[in-house]
Amino acid sequence: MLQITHLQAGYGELQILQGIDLEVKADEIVALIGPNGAGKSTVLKSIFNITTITQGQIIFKGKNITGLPTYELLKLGVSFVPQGKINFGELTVQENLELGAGMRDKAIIQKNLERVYHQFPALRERKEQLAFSLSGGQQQMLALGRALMQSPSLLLLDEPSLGLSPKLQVELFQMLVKLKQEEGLSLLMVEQNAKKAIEIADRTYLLEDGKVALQGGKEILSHKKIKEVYLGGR
Amino acid sequence: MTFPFLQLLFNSLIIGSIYALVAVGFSLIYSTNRFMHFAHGASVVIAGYALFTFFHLLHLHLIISILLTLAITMSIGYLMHLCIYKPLQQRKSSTVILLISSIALLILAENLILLFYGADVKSIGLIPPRTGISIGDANITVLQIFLIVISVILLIFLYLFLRHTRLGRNLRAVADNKELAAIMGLNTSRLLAFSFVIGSLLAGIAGILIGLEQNLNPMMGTSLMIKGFSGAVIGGIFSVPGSILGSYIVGGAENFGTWYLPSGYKDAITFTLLFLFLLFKPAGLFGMEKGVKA
Repeated sequence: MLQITHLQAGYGELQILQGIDLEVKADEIVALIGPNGAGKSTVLKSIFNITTITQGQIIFKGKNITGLPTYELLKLGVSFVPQGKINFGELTVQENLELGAGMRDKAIIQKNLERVYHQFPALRERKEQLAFSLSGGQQQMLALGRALMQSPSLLLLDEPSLGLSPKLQVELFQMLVKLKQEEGLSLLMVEQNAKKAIEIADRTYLLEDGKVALQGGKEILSHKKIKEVYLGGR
Repeated sequence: MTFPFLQLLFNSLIIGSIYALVAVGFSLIYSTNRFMHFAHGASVVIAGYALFTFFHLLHLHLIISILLTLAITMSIGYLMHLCIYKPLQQRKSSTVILLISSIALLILAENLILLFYGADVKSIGLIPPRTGISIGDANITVLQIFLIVISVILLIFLYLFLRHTRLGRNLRAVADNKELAAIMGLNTSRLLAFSFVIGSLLAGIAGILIGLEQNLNPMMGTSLMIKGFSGAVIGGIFSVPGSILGSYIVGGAENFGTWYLPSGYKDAITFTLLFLFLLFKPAGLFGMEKGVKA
């Protein structure tokens, strides 16, 4: 579904990614783990053309999408939930969701809205509330819901568990697996919680210094490198 | 002499309406573009003189003069954005640089007008309907009522536009979180330009209304900009209803204040109010102080 070949990218003069090869297949959750500054977020941002790409290619469903403007990507079915301020705080929950659907016609927006509210009932109860008044977990739901309003086939997530309590993290990861199974969504997510990420992902890439240092399925949990550096199992 | 409450209220509403039109445009541009567009005052004064030129000097029909004036103010707002601010922003200039260039633009515009039209006050020469309404000792002319009504209708329209249309919602989204808006596929640069066009249109309407009701002088842009800015800050600069309320408060404080103080203290009253708000309620009346959530 998504193939990234020899991607070199960064911000202005600063090059972060030193040639990344990565693939996301259909109906697959792929996790990107690694230390801070390894370039995990840069990979996602490069897909969304917010970085300076100096070399390499990004192919989505057989189409070269390198450097494509955002609205084209959304139309093709790629959605992105960034990190940090993930919602429009001054807009209501419903406005946030409707905005996610872009310029589609009203009937389709209504249909997608119903689907998202069905998926996240807590959002329906708060649809007239301003987004900034939501709790951390609800904020994450809203951001996910807004991305789903585009009816994407590939969802990019930048540290979705950031700032959530352990209990909410578990719920979130269950939700992601459910989205994959029920909606046939493929996910590419950056995670700082390496253990959880490897457990729910079909495949994981470990990034170090802008390169892929290790990749594999759940078996890499027992890899020496992962154990030593990320799971504190010295 | 008894306290002329009604007359002072009328005067406050008249000038408050003008300030409000200036303030909401300024606030709209500020909240989407995140810098102080003081050259917004230039749009007001240019509108006044454009109307003077078309109507008084060229003897065009009033409606045609007004339409031409609005077209000119919208174009000037767009061009300031396109030719000055946008290139500066693309070079990642700080907001201070943008602020300084906006003040420079305001001074430039006022001095060009001074150069071409001279320093003496100009009158549009529309024979103002002198007949007005008298309530007790208070007088208000038909033109003044018209001015208040037009302003209020426009302000309500702007509010409804921002709240209940897709374009309005997208503008609020860009004001709220520009990076996220871009990720959601909104054409942010077009929306930023659009806020300049709408903001300048409101400034143009303010300029036209002043031109119809009062005399024009080349330096009035600065003074109106300061009042509109004060109104926006007092009400809450990110909030359109706040900016409107703040502007009427400024208008009211000036008019009621000068009943007790010499009229030369008008500006001092506004500034005192502004400082008090900056010190004790910097987010303004409608500003929300909220914690940052992830």
